[in-house]
Amino acid sequence: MLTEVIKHSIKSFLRNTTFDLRLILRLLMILSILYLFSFLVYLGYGFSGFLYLYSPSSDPVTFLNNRLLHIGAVLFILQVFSIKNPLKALLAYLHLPIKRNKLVLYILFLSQFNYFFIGLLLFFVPYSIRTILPVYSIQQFFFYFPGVLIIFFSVGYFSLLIRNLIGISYSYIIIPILLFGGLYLMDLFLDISFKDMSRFIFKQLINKNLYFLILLILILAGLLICNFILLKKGFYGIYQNQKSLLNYSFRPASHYFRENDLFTYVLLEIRLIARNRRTRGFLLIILFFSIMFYRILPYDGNLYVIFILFILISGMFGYTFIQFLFSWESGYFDFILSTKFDIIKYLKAKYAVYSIFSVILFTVYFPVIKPVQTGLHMFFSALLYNSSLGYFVLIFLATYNKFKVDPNRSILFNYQGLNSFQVIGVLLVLLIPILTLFLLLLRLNLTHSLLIINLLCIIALIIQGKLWKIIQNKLMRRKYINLEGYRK
Amino acid sequence: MIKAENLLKKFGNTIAVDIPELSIENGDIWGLVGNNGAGKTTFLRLMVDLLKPDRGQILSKSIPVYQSEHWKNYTGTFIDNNFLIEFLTPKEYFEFIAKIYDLEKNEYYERLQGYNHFLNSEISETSKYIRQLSSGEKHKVGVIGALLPDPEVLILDEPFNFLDPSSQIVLNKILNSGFRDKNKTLILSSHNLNHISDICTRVALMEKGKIIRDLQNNRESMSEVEDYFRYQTNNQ
Repeated sequence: MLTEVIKHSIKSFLRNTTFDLRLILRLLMILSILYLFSFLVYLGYGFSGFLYLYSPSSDPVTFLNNRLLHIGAVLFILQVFSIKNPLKALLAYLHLPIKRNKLVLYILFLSQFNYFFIGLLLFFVPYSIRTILPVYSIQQFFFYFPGVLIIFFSVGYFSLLIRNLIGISYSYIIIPILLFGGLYLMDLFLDISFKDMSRFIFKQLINKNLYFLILLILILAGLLICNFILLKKGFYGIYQNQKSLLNYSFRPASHYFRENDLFTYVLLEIRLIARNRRTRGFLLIILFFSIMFYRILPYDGNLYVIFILFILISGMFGYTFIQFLFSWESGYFDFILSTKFDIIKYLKAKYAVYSIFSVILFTVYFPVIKPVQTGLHMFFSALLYNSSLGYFVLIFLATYNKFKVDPNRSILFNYQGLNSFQVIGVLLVLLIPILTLFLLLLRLNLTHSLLIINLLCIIALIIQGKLWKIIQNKLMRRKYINLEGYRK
Repeated sequence: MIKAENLLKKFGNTIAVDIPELSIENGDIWGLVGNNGAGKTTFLRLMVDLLKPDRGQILSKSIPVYQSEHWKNYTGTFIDNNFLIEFLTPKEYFEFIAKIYDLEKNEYYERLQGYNHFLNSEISETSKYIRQLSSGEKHKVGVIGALLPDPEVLILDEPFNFLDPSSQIVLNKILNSGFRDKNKTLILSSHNLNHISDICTRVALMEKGKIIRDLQNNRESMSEVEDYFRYQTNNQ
């Protein structure tokens, strides 16, 4: 019977709507998947050669093993974001004479069967055979290869565990945050970096440390058992609609009325971001750029470029989302305008969310900014500027957004809602502080110039109420035009 | 309660709404009927300030709707899916409405309980987002969302659309019991003359943006309305 379930899963994959395209498109898609997979195999096979072109002095084995945990972290994030609820696929089999334990085992197997994991394997297997095997002994290889595989599997099952726990309550999202936060703090205060840990793991494996391998196996077994128990319990929750693993929604109902007004709107904003595909895609882009900028810094080039970089980094979250402000809401703008929906509170809620993320980014970037000359002061000025004026300028310009956006459409090749005001907005937001700094630097030194910018920002913060009023009035004047656009 | 004065709305050269004068009094249950494209939805949108009239104005309690937002405190509206926040579950959507209308927890649960037979627990307790619901279910969520603040004025566009026969009967009862002789105002548009004649105290007939009849609901007036549609059908 279980073989039938497996057959059905294959059919379900092949008959997926993604494949429901014209023949030529289907062929193109299959070819591109095959191309990507072959590329990964090729990359794994010729890794040493590719690395030599990029960095001739690097040893390929050391290079990759120093980044083993980074790969694991990326795999974790991608999987948590993308894993579909596996129980959903098996709903039709629950009443059939198949043992639930078998179904759970099947889910555990299926959960690792995703593009990211397969992609990683396609790279890692030829890499290990081509690069590790010739350099190290066969025994070392047989410690290293399964060891790394166990780590990847553990990451996969950890992702599944977190995904399942999030299904029960969103508060469990704190686990990966604490984990990554802990690692970050270790790097910051104990000088134990991700790289060091990665190196340590590899060293243990290559040195044929049997206890370490057993420890890895035990971790994997622990994760499997936890997932097994959770999934088995999850079957009973499916039709109860309470604490079900299918229920991937926030459950604030019991606390709802205790919260203050602003929180209601903050929650709406968080739900908007978390529950729509395009907004989630934006989050991944922000993550990508955050990592990219992290790599670029500390940058000791042109002062203005540094300031622009700092403004972009601290405002990355806000700028990305504010650009499409009111277009995100285009699907329920009628509701906003014809009920007691408090627009100012909603905007304040958005502003609060974006500002909190700016502060988080500020904290994360703290160690790489410290070495830049007057870096901290500049970064603080950038943060203050974004929170006091930058976001307001963009929110004001967003009142001109009159294009409908479906936030639940994929981010790929999606140009819905793009308009010239967004470009003007970002240029303006960057030009205002740069020009101010330029003019101030004609007379003053950098510290004094930044202090004056800070002062101006603080004044803007003090008159925040007036700025909100201006934005609201503008929005009200524009509402008929915008509504017409949103209905198209 | 609600007045239209010299109201004109055009889309290009097409006149969508042209109502020189109309008054809907407190306690009226006013039904608007007309064929597709007659301008019913546009008129309802003008009522809640979602469209800017080219001329004239709508007054709610003698205040122009574009001038003050006070009307939002006592008006509930559901016109189409643009009133639904689709990434929320129905429960979250109702809770959100309860919150913005400052409903007490008990008051909210009591009211929602009152609509349970219309909404049924499959919708109110579902973990699906509104966007994942069927058209009928979405419609129910929208109607209840508008009813939840217990508004003095309720504006509904085609509230019986997409509903199964049982739900239509239940909604009919809800509207009748909630608005008839309650000194509240209900404004609804519908294609279904039976519902209009069951619920409304006044029936208005709209054609090409104009209110061509505005009658008290009785047997003669309804047969006049029916005759109008029969005549329209025969002339097509």
